[in-house]
Amino acid sequence: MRRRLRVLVLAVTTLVATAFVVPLGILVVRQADLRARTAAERQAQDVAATLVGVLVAASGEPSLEEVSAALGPLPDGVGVILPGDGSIGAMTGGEAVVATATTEGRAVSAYVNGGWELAFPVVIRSGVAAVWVRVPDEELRSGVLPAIGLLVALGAVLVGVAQLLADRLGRSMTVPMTELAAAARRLGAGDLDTRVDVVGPPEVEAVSESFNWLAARLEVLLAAERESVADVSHRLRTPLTSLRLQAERIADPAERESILGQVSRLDAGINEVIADARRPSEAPATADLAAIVSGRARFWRVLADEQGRAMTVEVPSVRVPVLLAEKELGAMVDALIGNVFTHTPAGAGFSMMVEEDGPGLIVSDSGAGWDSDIDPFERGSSGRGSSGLGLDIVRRTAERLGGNAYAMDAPQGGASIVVRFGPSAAGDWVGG
Amino acid sequence: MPRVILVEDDHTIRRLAADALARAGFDVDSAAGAMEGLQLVVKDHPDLVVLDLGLPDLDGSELLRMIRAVSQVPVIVATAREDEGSMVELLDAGADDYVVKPYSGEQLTARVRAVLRRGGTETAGADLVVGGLVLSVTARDVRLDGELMDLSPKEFDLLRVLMERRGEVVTKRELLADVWREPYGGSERTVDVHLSWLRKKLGETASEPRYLRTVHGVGVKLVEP
Repeated sequence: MRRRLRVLVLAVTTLVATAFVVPLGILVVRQADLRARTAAERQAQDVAATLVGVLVAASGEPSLEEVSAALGPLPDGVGVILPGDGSIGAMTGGEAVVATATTEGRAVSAYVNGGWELAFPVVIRSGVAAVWVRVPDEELRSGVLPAIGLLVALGAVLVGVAQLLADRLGRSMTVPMTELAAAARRLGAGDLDTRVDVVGPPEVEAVSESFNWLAARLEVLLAAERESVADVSHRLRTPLTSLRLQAERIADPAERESILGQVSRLDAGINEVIADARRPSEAPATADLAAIVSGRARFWRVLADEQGRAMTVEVPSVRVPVLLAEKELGAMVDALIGNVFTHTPAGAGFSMMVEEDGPGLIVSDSGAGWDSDIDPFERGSSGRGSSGLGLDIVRRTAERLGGNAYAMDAPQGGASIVVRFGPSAAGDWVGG
Repeated sequence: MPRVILVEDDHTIRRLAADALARAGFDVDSAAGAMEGLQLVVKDHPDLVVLDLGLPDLDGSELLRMIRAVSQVPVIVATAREDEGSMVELLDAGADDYVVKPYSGEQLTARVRAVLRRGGTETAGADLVVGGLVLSVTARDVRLDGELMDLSPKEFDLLRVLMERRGEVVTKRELLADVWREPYGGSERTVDVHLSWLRKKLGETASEPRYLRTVHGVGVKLVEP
């Protein structure tokens, strides 16, 4: 918009400047020409008056030398032609105008041979003399170029100032619009607190006010929606309590554990719904996978040492951003490490490797490997001091990010779990 | 026999929770509404009240304030909300502890026992002392032989539960219920790793224990060395 405005103003001001500068330029040329010719005419008249005075003062026909002495030295471009081919002054050309002036007895002028010539007839006793004046083109155009240059410069200044004003005007319109667009992007990314300053032309102010109203309304509606979801989920906990207490009364241990397990899964599901509803609607958080894995490894190392497990951690020296909050990513890593401790005997080592590309995390152990009959990611398949929900949550979180999680045999013969966290979040990195 | 009043509007929960408490050795009376519950508190002078927040005639938090106006009886609040703000509000309003729905009978009775222990044999808010280990509930700090320990909030809660039940074997599942408030969820490995950190900070190891004794296949107990 600013560029278009500048182009428009440039075109208009250039046209206006041209419309003024060209006629003014022509006028300047003509004025210079007129000034030079008028000066030449006056000079010719002065010489003619002097010549007449000499002739009147002389008793007879004065000689050429006497006339020349009486006139004194003539400037360049001025000559006096007496009847009988006698002439005074350095004359270059001028024969045609002199011949016409003496023949017809009138002043004659013409643009010839790179200049302007004037022949002025003076009647004397022996015939018709002539005063000749020549003005070269340089003199006819004297002062024209600086004047035209000044005009062009003024025109350029006019165009430049107009451009500056157009840019300022464009900015006053486009800056609020640009800020509005940026705010709309922030709102779309989940920053519901975003607002814009109501500035700029009235139309832009109206749009800004509407945007702020929309953002406020969106915030209220979304908060109400989230609160409603959370409230419904909370209310589900009361019948779930009843169900749990009833299940605890079932005599058959297998049936009791089965139903209690289902209640736990239902509870976990409700907790997830509440957590999702309560999750701040800000732009997605990012966490550094390398830092989180290193941190969680330090936390678990004390138990690993206690159980005689060798633990190796390979993380790149650069940040590996993942589109998850640090707490959520930490819980995923804990679930993977806890899985190793649950399913391998004390003494079995394990390794964690963070891959920058992917990005990914591979947790491998030196245990007995996978039991082909069990899907480690299936809910409730653990039964060994764990709810079995951890790996299921790992997989579903990875899938939510556009990645995945799968089990494979580890190179050293144990089990591996590979987690891919979807497209790199490098562009979204906001962490410190 | 400690007398417990259960204020809960849901008939099934009231019956089953009262039954679980009775089987754990408490003398239980129950009320389905706030006014009935308040009358029981005033009339029966119970040792503890379990109060559900979602009552039909009055909000449970209002009832809690009314109880506090007439009695210092320990109150455990049963709530469906577990966000920190709600918890702090309830504790500030005079609750002694809380259980989050869906709770188990075992979790409820363990909470009742713990609160009664704090309010009975020990004065509420008093320090817990086991050997050279002194835990201040109110200041939320622990000193080992006079030296202040640097504990995470979970390590503090874990140690508090174990000190409250010193000499008893506490199962990891109970710890998940009491400390992590996940009676059926969570991983026992989480308990293991926190116990490892506690051991390290207590200056002992699993092979050379002092305070923390692992009872294989059962759980862990805290004893005086």
